[in-house]
Amino acid sequence: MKKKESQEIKSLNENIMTEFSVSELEERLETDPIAFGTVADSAMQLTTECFTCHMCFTCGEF
Amino acid sequence: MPLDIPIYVYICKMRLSDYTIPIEIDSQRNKVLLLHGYTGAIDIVSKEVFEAMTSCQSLSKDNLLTLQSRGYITEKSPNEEKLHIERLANIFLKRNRTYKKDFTFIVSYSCNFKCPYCFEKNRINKPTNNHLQKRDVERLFEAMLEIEPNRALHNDVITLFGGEPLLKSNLDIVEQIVSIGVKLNYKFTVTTNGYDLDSFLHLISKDKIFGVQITLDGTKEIHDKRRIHQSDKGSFSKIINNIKLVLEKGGLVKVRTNVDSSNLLNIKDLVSFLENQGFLNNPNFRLYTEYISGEGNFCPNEYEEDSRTISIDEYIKEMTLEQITVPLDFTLFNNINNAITKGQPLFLNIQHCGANAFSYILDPNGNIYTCHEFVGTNENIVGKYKPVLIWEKDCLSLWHNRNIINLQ
Repeated sequence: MKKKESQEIKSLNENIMTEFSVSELEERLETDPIAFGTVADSAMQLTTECFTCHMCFTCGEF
Repeated sequence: MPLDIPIYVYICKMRLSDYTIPIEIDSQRNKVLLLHGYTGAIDIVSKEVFEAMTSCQSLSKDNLLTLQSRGYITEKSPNEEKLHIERLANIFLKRNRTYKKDFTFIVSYSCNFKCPYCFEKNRINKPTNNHLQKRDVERLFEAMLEIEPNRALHNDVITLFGGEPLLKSNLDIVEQIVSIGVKLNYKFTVTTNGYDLDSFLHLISKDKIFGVQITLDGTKEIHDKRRIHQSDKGSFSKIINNIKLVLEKGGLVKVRTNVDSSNLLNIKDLVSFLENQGFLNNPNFRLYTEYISGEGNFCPNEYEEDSRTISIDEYIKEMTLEQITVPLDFTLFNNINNAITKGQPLFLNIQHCGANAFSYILDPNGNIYTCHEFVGTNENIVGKYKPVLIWEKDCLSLWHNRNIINLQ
């Protein structure tokens, strides 16, 4: 029964915003804020296909 | 879980998080999709687990720990969760303000088209101060450094916008902008109707204008009824030819299709046409659609008033048919879809878009805006850049300080 129930949660994504990642982000903003670059840089490797990022999400990368 | 706390005591401290968002799955009635508003987790759980979540005591130890690690159940009180949101809000506000600044130049408020749904309809083609003057071009670049003195914090890509930026009559202005910009290590993209693009081909290259966004609203018959040139009977054929010319030069082309009731069912035909042209196989070609019906209609009193509007659901359903999948400019859908289909974390934010943080649009009249949809409107001027830089602080604050904490 326990084994069946334990299969009843399926996580679809990883790297969520845990307490640890919140603290990491806070520290990074204090020590190296300029490294954030563009919106796209912080989420993915910016390519010229993105043109300039207006956070329009048309690329489907966000 | 701390080892020295008996599990029954530990469970009693847990509660369903106020930011757990459950969604029924039409095709799987015995399952529930869960999203979490501040961890960004997405999970599918059985109905039994979901029902047990409301009373944490019914959960197995493994499930309890999993759900806690994902944020759906929490030890935090409601007030502690609110404080956590405020902490995240401060972090994301700081983060958003560190992003590189995006600059757009409105080359001209004139346009050679008269599209019925144009959101700038009442602001374009006015008789005075309609396009940039040569004497103002250097001031644009000076103003950028006054807005953000650290050049390293400028996005190297500047967008040219309008009205229509690539009118043949503005060729010398655009040449001057690109010439000065390239010397300062910027490059350019353009949002254009694409009609006069053939007059600007000499500026298409990796280090000058490297990409263009062009609107095609359907196959020829449909497009020509919606994208109306001021004097030419049709614009489709010329635009298609110009797309080919840009791609041949190695430029990037992003085609946008505005979708409403009059062309929804034509999109798959447009996709077939573009495929037959060889565009879809070209790595430098992208296509996406924009919903402009219903709440997306910028001219509700003048456009589509007699037609049946289409809902967001109808739009998404048609764009995600099995035979075709066309990217949507629909923030919420893309964010969740990418998390579900690619396993990516949800992109968490406390502000809507770049207009709230790092976008600056400079127009021919010396005005500064943050949002492309409101250029030319007096009430959304956040500053002036000529003759000197002056901020309209109240308006700027309305845009830059708007976030989920202060929404009414």
